[in-house]
Amino acid sequence: MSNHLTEEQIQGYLDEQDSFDLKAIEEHLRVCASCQKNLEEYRKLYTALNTDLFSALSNDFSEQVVSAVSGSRESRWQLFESGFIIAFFLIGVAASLYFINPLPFLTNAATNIFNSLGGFATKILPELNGNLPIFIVAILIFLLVEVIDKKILRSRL
Amino acid sequence: MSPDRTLVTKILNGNLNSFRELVEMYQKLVVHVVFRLVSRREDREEICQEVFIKVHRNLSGFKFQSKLSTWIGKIAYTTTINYLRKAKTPLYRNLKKVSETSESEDEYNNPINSIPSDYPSPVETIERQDITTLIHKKIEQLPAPYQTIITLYHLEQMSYHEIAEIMELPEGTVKSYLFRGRKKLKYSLVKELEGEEI
Repeated sequence: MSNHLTEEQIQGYLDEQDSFDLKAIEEHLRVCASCQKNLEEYRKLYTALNTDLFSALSNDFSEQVVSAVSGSRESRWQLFESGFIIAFFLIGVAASLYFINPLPFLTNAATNIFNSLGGFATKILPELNGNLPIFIVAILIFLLVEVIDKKILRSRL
Repeated sequence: MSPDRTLVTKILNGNLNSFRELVEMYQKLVVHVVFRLVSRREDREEICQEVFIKVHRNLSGFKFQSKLSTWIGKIAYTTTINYLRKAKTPLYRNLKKVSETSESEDEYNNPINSIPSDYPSPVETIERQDITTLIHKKIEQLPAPYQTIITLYHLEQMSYHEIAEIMELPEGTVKSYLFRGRKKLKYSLVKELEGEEI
C-alpha cells in the first residue's frame, strides 16, 4: 500500500468493516508512524463518541408515561360512554315519537305552561311596584356570576 | 415467540405493566435520539413522553417488519425533527463551520498530508474526560442527521441498515455522513488541541 491511509480506511479499520482490506491496512500501520498517529487520534475520538454523557430521565418517568397513557385511555372511554348515552337517549325519543302520538299531549302541556307563566307575571308585576329594572339587573348579575364561575373558575380546576 | 412479540401482545391486551417494561427497556434509545438534538432542557422530557405515548397509540399497527427498537427509534426521530421544525431550528448547518477550518479543499480531501509527522500528539496531553466533553460539544455543531447517525452508531451500536430505516435515508448516505462527521470531529479536536498547546 503506497502513500498514507485515507481517513475512511482508518475509520473502516476501527469499525472492523469487511468492505476494507483490513489486513493491508494493518500492514501499513505497522510501518507508517504518521498513519499510526492518525489512528491514535481516531481511537481517542471513538472513546469519546462511545461515552454516554446524556443525563438520565427523571426516576418516575415510566410511571408518568403509564399514567398519561391510562389517562388518555380513560378520557377516550368517557367520550365513548357519553356518545353512547346520547345515542341511546335519541333512539328512545325517536321510538317514543314513532309509537306514541305526542302532539295533543305536547299542545296541552305547552298551553298549561304558558297559562301558568302568564298568571305568574300578572301577579308578580304589581308586587314589584315599579322596580322591574332593578329586578332584571339582579337576574343579569346572577347569570353573569354563574357564567364566570362555570367557564372561567371551574375550568381551571 | 420473541420477547418483543410477547411484550407487544401483552400491551395490546391492555397490560400497563408490560408497557412500563417497554418504556424502561427503550428509554435510553429515546433519550439518545431526543437529547442529542433538543437543547432546551424543559422540552426534552416532554418530547420523550410524547414519543412513548405515540408508541402506545400506534402499537397495534406495528407488524414486526423491523426490530421494535428501530420502530421506536423512528418515532423518536420523527417526533424530534417535527419539534425542531416547529421551533424553526435549522437541521442542516454549514458543515465547514464545525471546526472553522481554514484548510483548502485539497488539504481537506487529503488531510494526512497536512499533519506533520513528528509533532507530539497534543491529544495525549489532556485528560480523556476533557476530550469527551469537547467532542460532545463539537457534535452539537454538526447538522442534525450527522448527530443522530453518530449517536445511534456509537451509543446504540446500530448497523447502517437500522439507522437508515430510522432516518429514512439510503444506507450509503448514512455511511457517508458517519465518515464525514467523524472526520470533521477529528479535525476539530486536533485543531482545538493544537490551539491549547500554543
